[in-house]
Amino acid sequence: MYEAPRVIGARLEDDPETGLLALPFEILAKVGQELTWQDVLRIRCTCRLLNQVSKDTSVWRSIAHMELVKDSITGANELFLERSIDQYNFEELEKQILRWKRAKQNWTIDNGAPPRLRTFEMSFQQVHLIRGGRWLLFTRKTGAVLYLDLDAPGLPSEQILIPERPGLSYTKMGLDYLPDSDVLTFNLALAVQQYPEEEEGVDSDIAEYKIQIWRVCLNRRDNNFDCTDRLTAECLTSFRQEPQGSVHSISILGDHIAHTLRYETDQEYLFFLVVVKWVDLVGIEDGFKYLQRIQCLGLGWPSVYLLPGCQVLLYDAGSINLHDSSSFVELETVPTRPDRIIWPKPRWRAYFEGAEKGFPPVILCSDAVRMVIFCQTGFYGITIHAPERQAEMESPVDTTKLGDYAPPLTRLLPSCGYRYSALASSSQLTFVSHPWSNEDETKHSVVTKDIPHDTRGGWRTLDMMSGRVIVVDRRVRVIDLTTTF
Amino acid sequence: MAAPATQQIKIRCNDEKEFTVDRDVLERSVLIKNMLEDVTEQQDAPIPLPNVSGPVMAKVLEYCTHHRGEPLPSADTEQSQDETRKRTTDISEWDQKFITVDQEMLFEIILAANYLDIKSLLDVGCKTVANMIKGKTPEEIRKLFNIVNDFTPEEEAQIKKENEWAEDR
Repeated sequence: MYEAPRVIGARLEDDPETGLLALPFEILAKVGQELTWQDVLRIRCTCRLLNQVSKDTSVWRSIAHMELVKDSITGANELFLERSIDQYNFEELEKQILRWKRAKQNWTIDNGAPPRLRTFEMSFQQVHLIRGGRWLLFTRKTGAVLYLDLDAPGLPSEQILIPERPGLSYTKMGLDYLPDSDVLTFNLALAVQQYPEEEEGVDSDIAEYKIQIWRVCLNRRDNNFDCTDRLTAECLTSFRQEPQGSVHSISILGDHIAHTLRYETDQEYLFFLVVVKWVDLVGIEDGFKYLQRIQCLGLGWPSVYLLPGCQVLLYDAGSINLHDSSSFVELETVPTRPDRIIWPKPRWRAYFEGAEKGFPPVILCSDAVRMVIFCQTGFYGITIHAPERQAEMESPVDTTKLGDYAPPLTRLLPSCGYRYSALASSSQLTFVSHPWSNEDETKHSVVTKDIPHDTRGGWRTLDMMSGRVIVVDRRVRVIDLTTTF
Repeated sequence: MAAPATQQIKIRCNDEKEFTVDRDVLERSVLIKNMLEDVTEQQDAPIPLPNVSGPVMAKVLEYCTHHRGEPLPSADTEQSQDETRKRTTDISEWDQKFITVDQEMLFEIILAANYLDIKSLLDVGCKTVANMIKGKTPEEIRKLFNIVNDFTPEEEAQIKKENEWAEDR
């Protein structure tokens, strides 16, 4: 029986016929599929043959599979791919993965590399950076919805997703990603104001308020790897608001939408919170009598966010209220007299002194909804447990202090991701990495980078994976932490 | 498939070395399994395996004997194979001991597993090579596998520059 010497990795004599490089390419690629992204970059530097292996599509698909392992806490992938892995070639996958890895690094290390800054002049009502950082969606007062492809070379040009229509205006939006789709797909809820087309003898000043639900998805030309990707939209349903009131915040999740509604009577303004099961209205053209769960709100302009289990989160300048919409009054139309409506008793409430005015993004996790709030005494992680878990918890919500760093100015309007935030002052952007306390890394880091911009108001949004931060005031600034690409 | 488990098959390697092996052990090799299925009559002549030497075949048979009776991976789509692989990234203790051989034997086993179409053995081999590479610098990898750096200095500098950030953690 043959006895092999028991020395792993013993060196060979110089014999090109039997060494590693003599293995067929597909076997070398199979070896490459077992490596991490860093190892693949290292073999790239060794010789021409392994350099080729490091550029094999199968190798990068394997890395993508490894990196797409779901985060144990969030239940979400940190890496976000807008289409399934087999629809990518090696260059695209490598670009996506390395950009994400590099953004993570640049968020926590001040390596002196200046971020790339692009500034756009455009008119818009509301702006939303789509997950993955590639698409910037924005609404315009004309009722149109447009987008930019921020990964396109050069200055991206405006593309029309939903064309403007005469008489249509005032567009607020909410998004809900459909995670099990092959390509990037999301539902888009739009609150619009429609003026009737002018007719003689008809007062055209009276607008109709409507909610539209659109299905938006990435549309690719057949396996074509150039920049011909488009977003396309299809209207699923449209229904009227009765009575007429303007919507200031709208959120969509699964089968439901939640929105605020301001209704004007002779004497006063009334504020309502409305939850509607929009899927029941699909196929009904411009319906206006439908069941809605309604609650009267106090004064103010809270932002609304729909959570799993039809919980609703309201946020207004540091004040957070959690409601359970199943306890709301259910009616076919919003009453013009509020006396039939009970006033809200939130399931949970909290106030953070000096917190931002706008709504910090919430992160949907498998077991909870999480958000990060910066205020005068530091920054906090808020965990709103999933409804089915709340019974076993002392409180439906847990608050954890994540760090002491308090922004030097109040009303900084930071934008927070689950682990990363970007805060802007008049001449700088501050990047905060804040792992949650139940993770291995217990320290947060604060890195400040000088960004030549002059914004004071406005707001910002970020995409952690692409390392892209959007700062909006009158203009739109796109800041890329990853400048390699 | 109705053949009795005790059926013995003869194989002949490229160095004239012959083995007589239980059929179910040999059928770990999809190549041989298909060959045997094509043969309707009982054959006494050994199956020639011109791409494998005796010492390597002895190792391969050691592997196949140990793993006899285990279900063979089905010829699924590429993607589900991918997922199977993800679930089995670790090499079992026995396999690890088995594959602790010098580089020459390791590569020969990989080539034989590839030729004989023994997917699990090919996986073990590739994972072993990958484990040797993991965490090493390019220079260490070159040294370990006797790789000649065939880049021009300009090319090498360029590649290094592109990738240096990845080491900066």
